[in-house]
Amino acid sequence: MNRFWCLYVPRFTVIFFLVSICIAMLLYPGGNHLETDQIGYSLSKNFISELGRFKTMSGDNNFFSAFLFIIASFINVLQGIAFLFIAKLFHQNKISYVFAIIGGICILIGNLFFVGVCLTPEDLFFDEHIFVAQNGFNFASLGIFSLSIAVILSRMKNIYALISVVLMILLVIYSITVGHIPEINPSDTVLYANTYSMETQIFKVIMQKLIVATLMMFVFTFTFGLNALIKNHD
Amino acid sequence: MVIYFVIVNSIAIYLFPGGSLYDSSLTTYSFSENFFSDLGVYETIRGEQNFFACFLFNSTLVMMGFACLSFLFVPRLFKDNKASYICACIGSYIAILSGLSFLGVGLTPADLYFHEHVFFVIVGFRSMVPGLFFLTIAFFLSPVSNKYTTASILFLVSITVYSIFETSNPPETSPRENIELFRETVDYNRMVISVIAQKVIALISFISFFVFTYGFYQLTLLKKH
Repeated sequence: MNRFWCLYVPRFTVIFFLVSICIAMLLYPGGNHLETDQIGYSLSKNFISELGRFKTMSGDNNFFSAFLFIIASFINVLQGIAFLFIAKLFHQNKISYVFAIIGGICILIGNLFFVGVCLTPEDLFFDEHIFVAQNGFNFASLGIFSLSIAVILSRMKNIYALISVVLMILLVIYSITVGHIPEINPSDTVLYANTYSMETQIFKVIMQKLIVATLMMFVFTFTFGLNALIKNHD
Repeated sequence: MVIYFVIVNSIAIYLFPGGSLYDSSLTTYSFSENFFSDLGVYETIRGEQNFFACFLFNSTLVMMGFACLSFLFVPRLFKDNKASYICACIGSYIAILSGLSFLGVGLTPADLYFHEHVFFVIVGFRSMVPGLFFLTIAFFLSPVSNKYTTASILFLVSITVYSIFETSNPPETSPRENIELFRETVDYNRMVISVIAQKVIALISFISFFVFTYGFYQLTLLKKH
């Protein structure tokens, strides 16, 4: 049971998410917030959540990409549940255990908000989309922060504590560099084009990709550290 | 899966914006005028976005399609009798093909990929006929209670009748492309019959699969003893 929820589920969800997103990118018809005539998905110009748009900026139907994107986000809820089981592995140190539980709950809430991101495509429900995306990010950050403290105080190898701290720093950098940029509804193409240059757009997009990739890598590598804790727990 | 299908599609029905081929002004889902596939369309007949119902309905079909892969484990339950085992193998593989066709239905909304949608619907229902035929023989030859054979025969008859009357004359063009032509060629009452027949066959399928699971469970118990 421990192995299933603490090792296999997080690994499966990470792989499933990445594979689904890659296929969704391949099936994305095209267009970005500034260039509606773009063909296909651009890793440097399209946000991840554009995969979930009802209709792309080029005006095409986006059934397959949106479908895969939503399925991937729902599967990711399993990851949130897994973090509740993971918290149990930190029971040897009371403070570490409390932080692990807080971290697990925050990550689960964060993942539920990310489901909300997929259920509120930016072209249909822009304000709700931004609200759930920001809260998802805030809860995930808080979860990682708590979990990092739990890792530092636990018997896990120092390398995992180091990875957690690096991730925390990256989240802070992301919040500082991207957080202050105002969110503008891309449906208002004129205002959007007047507010953002292509450089700003590329910067935001790449930062988003980097932070998501880092989060996924964190979850995946974290499971290897948990393996040792499971042996102690058993 | 049956329970999941019913719950999720009830939510989809609730969230469906409305509109049928004969009455685009409807504001809710009509049990007598809307096909199940209407839940999975990208945009309703009025042109309204159908984001939530579309995702919910199509995801249930995809899930059901994957769930049908569990038929891979069915033949081993009939291993005591060679003929029964062979029939269970053939029936199960055809049932998987049928399940995968319904997965295809979920991935081809009727308003975006009409011909592919119809193709998968036809393959899904028609392949169920030989699949059930072999599963019925497998049940008949197995040591399990005859009530499962009876249930299987009833299901087979229902699905055969449905396949003959409802999939033998598929529309050549999407009704949305020419709604007037559709209304001229398909009488309102005929459409209502098709819609209700679809609901009835879905209900019969759910009940039958539910009954089958008990039959499979009994076979597992018999194998243990």
